[in-house]
Amino acid sequence: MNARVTVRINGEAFAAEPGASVASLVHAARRSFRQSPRLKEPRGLFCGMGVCFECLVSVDGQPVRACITPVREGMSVEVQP
Amino acid sequence: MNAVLPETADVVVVGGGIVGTAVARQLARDGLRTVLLERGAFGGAVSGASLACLGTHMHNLDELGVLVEACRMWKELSDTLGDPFEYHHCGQLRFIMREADIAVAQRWIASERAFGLPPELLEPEAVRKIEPLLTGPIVAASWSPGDATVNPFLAVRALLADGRRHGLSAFHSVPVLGILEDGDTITGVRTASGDISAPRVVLAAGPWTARLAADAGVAIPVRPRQAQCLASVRRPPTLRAVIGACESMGGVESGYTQIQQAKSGQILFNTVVAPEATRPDSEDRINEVPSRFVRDSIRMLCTLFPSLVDILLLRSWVRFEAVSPDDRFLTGNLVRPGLMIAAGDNGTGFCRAPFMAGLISRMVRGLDPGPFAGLYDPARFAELRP
Amino acid sequence: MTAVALHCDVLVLGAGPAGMAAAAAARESGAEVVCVDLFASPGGQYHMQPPSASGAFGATSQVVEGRAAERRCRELGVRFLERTEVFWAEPGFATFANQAGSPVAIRSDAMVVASGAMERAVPFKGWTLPGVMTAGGAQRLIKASNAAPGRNVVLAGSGPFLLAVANTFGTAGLKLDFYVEMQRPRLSALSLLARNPGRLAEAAKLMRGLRRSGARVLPGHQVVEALGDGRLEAVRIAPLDASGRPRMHDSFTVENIDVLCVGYGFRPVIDVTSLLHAAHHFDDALGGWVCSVDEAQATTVPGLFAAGEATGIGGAVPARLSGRLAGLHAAAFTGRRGVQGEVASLRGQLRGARNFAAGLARLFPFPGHLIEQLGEDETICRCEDVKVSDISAAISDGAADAFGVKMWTRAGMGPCQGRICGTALSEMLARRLGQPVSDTGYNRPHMPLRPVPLAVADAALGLMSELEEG
Repeated sequence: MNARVTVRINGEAFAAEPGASVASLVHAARRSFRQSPRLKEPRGLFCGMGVCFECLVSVDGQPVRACITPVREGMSVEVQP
Repeated sequence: MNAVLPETADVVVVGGGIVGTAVARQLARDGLRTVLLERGAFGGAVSGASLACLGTHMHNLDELGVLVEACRMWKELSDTLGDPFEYHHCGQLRFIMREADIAVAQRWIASERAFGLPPELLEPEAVRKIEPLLTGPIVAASWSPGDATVNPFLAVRALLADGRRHGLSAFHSVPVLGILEDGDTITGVRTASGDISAPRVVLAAGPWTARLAADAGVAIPVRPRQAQCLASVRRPPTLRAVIGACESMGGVESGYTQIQQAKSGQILFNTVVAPEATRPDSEDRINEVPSRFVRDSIRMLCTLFPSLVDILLLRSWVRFEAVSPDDRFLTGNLVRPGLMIAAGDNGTGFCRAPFMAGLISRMVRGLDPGPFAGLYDPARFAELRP
Repeated sequence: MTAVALHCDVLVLGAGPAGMAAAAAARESGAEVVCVDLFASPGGQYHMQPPSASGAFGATSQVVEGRAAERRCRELGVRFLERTEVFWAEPGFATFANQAGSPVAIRSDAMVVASGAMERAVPFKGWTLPGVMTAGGAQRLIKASNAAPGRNVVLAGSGPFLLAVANTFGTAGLKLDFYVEMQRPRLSALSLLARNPGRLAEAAKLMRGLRRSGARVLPGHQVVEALGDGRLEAVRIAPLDASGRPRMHDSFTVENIDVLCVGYGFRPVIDVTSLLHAAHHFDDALGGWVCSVDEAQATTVPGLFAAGEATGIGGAVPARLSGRLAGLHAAAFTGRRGVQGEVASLRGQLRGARNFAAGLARLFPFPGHLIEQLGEDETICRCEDVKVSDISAAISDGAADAFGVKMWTRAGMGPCQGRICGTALSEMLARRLGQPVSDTGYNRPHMPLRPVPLAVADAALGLMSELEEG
């Protein structure tokens, strides 16, 4: 197995497999990625292929779809609480 | 659309945008049996692309009285209908990037203040107290605190619903195919679902009014002008006011910028540096925005708001405004007995819609239309004198 | 921000089976080929690559074939642009894309659209709970991230893809608790296989894989509700009656379920072909709106070809065959070596493959009627939190189509631009307004096709005149 990379989600460190998606890490750590815009309901990974935008998180300050973003050593992910 | 249309009416209003819907609602409330016909979806043409800014700042000075009244009417509509269209009292900033335009802005401000309105000229530092992210190279900005915005889609919906509560019959997906006449007099309209006889027909179809009027043998000086808008993905509250370019000497034709953050959180913006040549035979189908427009708009937004450079662009759309030679509505009787018009938004018609509705209704009922009617009288154009 | 400008003969959108077949074929014919894909490595959905070569999927035929296809393309000199998303295209062709935050503009004489398929999503009660995902999303977690979707998993819906996903669980050694399929096994399935004996081995293998997953198999059943407080906790399942409707009084709840994977089939991704005004037609069995192509895989726009799922959902076999045809013809269009003799054979094979796919589709008709089961208080547009009651109110106020509903409810105005809710909205409007599903409109693509940072859009579009001269 390749050496793991360290990714922080809301400041907390997680070990991730290189090449895995940010979504797989966030989904495993906490089912909820964000809140829906009007009703503030928790939302999680849905389509997994970049279409639905439910997995939007902030990576290094930029909004990205976690499902199409591979993890990187030192990456900092902010997820809506 | 298999609509079952009434066979007769007191008034048929053609065109279900903000103007036609406001007119039809007013007529219904004033006791007239009114039928509103929209060829597509209510509010689906240029009304839906409107900034829907309600204000008195930097518009035709001779219309100031009208604008003050129109803004009051909008506030009253929001209050009486239960705030159905996201009325938002946000104020408007008009940014100035060239020293030479400061004097222009000061003239506008002086004229408006003489009328009793409160705009003022602000230094950049004062501007940033209102709009902290506006850190681009502006030299000044005018500030019109009384301006407001509404959601244009919901405004059409709310006026339509209120009209229906007062007996308005409104039909979507019913294009008017022709104007019926008996000699010189207009007697109704023809549609694919049948004819409607009415002693009065009001044409309120934006730029497409010209075709309808032509069918009645009247050539009106109203033509389409392409307007486009861009929208970002929603963001947390970022912008407070409506932001526009100071109206320079060249007016709309020399370019304009409009930026606002809607209640949805989306930032709506457009910049026109030089208007796209609009073909006179333009159709109101889905068109694409020119890429030059996209770049100009992005650059202007990022020049004014450098921190927005990485926001996500989500959508763009094109609509067609109705332009008249003197930048004013044509509202009133249109040459032939029974034919009326309320069209010619010139890109700023949304605010004026309820006022035009009031004019039409008073004229239809034979009442004094008031001191401002002459501004909009179609007969001010030589070719439209009966 | 500087944008990169590329020139090529044939631009291929999508690096799945169809895209890679097209890219290789065009390159073999002597064309300069660029192939773009959203993901970090080629393969698309079908050939998605595991994060490391070792592991349960490293030796599966899908992964091995995918790596071989990619290797072949690279050896031939196909230039791949990974993590690249097209946001605009102009006729003739100029294509503008976002490569992981960097602007790219590509000039090509021909284009092959092989952008695959997306979920044909059907809302149901509780579908927005975290823990409810698509079957495809679950497959991608397992295969491409080596991640288990959850501890106790229900896989539900309808269609052959469900079987493939169950096999994915099995191959990964992951427990699958329930497999819930709307359809019951039918004689027509046997006759389809009898007509296509080459598929028997594959079908048998898939059934073995389902057994190996350990799932309790429930044919003729449907998930009717996802339950939980803040995340999925339980799933309610109901048997279907003879007319295919759920027998609610016979429904039962499975507790302690943390992931529900749902799939009812796919619909073609037709953003670029629609944008470029190619003709499309509606075929419910093949996914809905489908890009129309002739025997050369040519659309109605000269130089624009389409292959794979974009031309109708059919799986990997038609994708590879149609991709190869499209690549050969696209290269010929640009004046490279003319189309070779293999074309007749390819077309014959493609016809056979499409016939099988169509037969398979008929066994699993898309359950559009499920929209009738969605209550007024349920969410239909996820992006904008629009409930069925909002749609009802809009229709009663005079909205007559997807556009009118969108204006008044915001359904379809969010980041996904109606891709997820569009199917459900069409089905709902069709039923409530008495119009055929194909009439209720679909969200026409606009600039940008996908959300793109302003700076990237500006820089990429800035190359437009340079591309025209080149």
